Amino acid sequence: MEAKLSFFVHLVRYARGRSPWLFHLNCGGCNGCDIEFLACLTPRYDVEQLGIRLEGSPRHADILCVSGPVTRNTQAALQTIYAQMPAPKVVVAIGSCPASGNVFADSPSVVGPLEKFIPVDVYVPGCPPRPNAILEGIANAIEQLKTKPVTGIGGKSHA
Amino acid sequence: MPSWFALLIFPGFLYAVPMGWLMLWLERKILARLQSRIGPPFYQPFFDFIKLMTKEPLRRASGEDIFYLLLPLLALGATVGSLTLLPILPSSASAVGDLVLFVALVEVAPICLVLLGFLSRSIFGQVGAIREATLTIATNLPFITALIALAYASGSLRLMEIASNAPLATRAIALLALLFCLPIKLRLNPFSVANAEQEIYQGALTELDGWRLGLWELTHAVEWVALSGLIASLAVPWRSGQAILDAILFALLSLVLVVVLTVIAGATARLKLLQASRFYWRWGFGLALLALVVSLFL
Amino acid sequence: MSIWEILAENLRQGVVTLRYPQRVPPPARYRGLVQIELEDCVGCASCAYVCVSAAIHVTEERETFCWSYDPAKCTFCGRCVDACPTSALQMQAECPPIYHCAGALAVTYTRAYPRCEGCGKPFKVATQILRQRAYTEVSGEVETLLRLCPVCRQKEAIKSMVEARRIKEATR
Repeated sequence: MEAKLSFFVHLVRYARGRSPWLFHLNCGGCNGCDIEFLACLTPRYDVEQLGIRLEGSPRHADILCVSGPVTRNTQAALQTIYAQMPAPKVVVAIGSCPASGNVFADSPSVVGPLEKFIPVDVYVPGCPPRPNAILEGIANAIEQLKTKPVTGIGGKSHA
Repeated sequence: MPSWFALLIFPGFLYAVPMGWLMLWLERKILARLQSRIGPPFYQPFFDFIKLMTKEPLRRASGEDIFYLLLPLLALGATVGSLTLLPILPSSASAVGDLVLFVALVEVAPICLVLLGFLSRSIFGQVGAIREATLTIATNLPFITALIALAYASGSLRLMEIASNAPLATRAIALLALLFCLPIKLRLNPFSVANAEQEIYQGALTELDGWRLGLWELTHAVEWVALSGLIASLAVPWRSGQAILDAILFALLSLVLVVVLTVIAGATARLKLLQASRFYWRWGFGLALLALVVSLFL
Repeated sequence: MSIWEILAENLRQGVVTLRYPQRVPPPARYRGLVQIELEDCVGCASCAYVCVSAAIHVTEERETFCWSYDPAKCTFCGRCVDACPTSALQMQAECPPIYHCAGALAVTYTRAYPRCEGCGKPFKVATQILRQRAYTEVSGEVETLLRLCPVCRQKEAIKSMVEARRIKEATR
C-alpha cells in the first residue's frame, strides 16, 4: 500500500511539473511586461515545450503571472482571481512593478506591492524582464508547484 | 464478438482514451509545427488529465457537484457508446450499429456542454452555451441530411450496410458534407466561437475547475475518436476480415482526418456566430442536399 | 502571400524554438543590475538624486556613508550610471537573477570617510578621477593638499601665503 501510494504521489508530482497552465493578469502596468510575456508564446521561445498552456479562466490555471503595480481598480479583481484558482497554485510576479511599485510607488491610485494582497512565490526582476528570464521564473514556479502537497481525486490528502 | 468487448476494449475505453489523447496531442503538435514552434511533448494530454484530476476542487454550492460529475460522465458514456456502433470490424457485434442510435448518442455531448454552461451561472458560460446550442442546430441540418442520403442510397439504417453498400458518388459527396460538420462538432477553428478562449474564456467551460474540467477534457478526447471514426469507418467499403488489420486501417484513417482538420484549423481564423451558421445552412446544407439528390436519382 | 504559402514556408523552415535551458545571451550593452565600485565612490549622492524610482539611497553619518540599492524598485534606466561623476557605477550585461522573497536582491554598502592627515577628522575626499578632471596636471603639492580636510586645507593655504609674504618682505 505504501509503495503504491508513493508511486501515485510521484506520478502526480511529475504530471504537475509537466502541465502547468498559466493565467496572466495585468494589475495596471504599462504593458511592457505583457509584451515580453507574450513573446514567450511566440515560435522563438514557445512555452508549450514545457507543457504550458495559456488559459482564459483562472479556474483552469496553476500559475498566476502578475504584472503591474496593484492599482486601486484592479485590487479587488486580483483577490477574486486568486481565490478562484484551485490549489495547488503558485504566483509569479513579473517585473519590478509587482515587487515594489517601481516608478508608480506612492501614487495615490497605487495600493501595491503585490505581496500585501496575495502570497508571491517567484519574483522575476527587470523592467521589463527578457522573455528568457520570464521562462526561467516560470520554470522556478513549476519546481515550487511540484513540492505542494498532493491530494487524490476529490481533494483527499495523501502526502 | 461480445458487446462488452466493444464497449470496454475496442473501440471502447481501452482504445478510445489513449487514441483520444494521441489525437489531442497530434492536434497541438501539428498546430505548433505549422507555426514553426516545437509544441508540447508526447505525453501532454495524459499529464494534463492526471494533473486536473488531482487538483483540489473549489467548493461549489451544494447540489451542484452531482451535475458536474454526472453531465461529463453521461457525455463520456454516450460518446463511447456511439463509438461501439461504428462499423469497424466485419463481425456481428458491429452490425447492430444503428444510424439513429448513433446520431442520438453523438448529440449527447453537445447537449451536456450546453447544460454545463447554464449550470455555471457565469455570464461567459451562458454565452458559450447559447453559442454552442446555435451551432449545434446549424451543423445538424447538413449532418443529418448527409446521413439520410447515405442511408437512402444504401437502403438500410445499419451502419455496417451503409459502409459496404453506399454507391461511390453519394458516399463521396455525403462524406465531404460530414467532414464539413466535424470542425463545429469538435469546436475547432474557424467554428470555435462557442469555446473562444480569448473572447468568452472558453465559454461553457469557464467555471469548471480541477476534476470537473478533467472529466470534460476526457470526454472531448473521446469525441475526437468517435467523430473522426464515423468518417473513417464509412469511407472504406472494403474489410479484410482480419480484425487487427481492419482496426489498424481504421486508426490510421482517423489520424489522417485529425491532420486534415488541424491544418484547416491552423489556416483559418474564428468566424462570427452568424457567419458560421450561414456557412452551414448555405454550403454544408447545399452539399448534403446534393448528396441526397444524387442518392435519389442514381 | 496566402495563408497556405505561409504555413508551407513555416514547415519548410522547421522548428525555430530555443529548447528551454538554452538562451540568447543579452547584448553587450544590456542594462542589468547596477554595480558599485566602492573605492571610486565619493558619496556625492548624484545617483540617488537622479534615480526615477527611488531605488538608490545614500545616507550620511558623521564618519561613514551608506549606499543602498534595491533592484526590486529599479527601472534599469541607467541614469545613475550617466550621472556618476567618478564612474563608480556600472550595469551588469546580464539578466538579474530570479528571487523568492521580497527584497532579496537589495544591497547596502557602508564606507568610512577617509581621515584628514592634519587633524584626523573624517571628510569627503576627491578620488583620482575627480582630481584628473579638476586639475589636468596633478602635481605633488596638490596631491598633499587633497589629503587634508577643507579646514586644514584652508589653514595650510593661509600658512603658505603668510610664509610667502614673510619671505618676500625679508628679501626686500
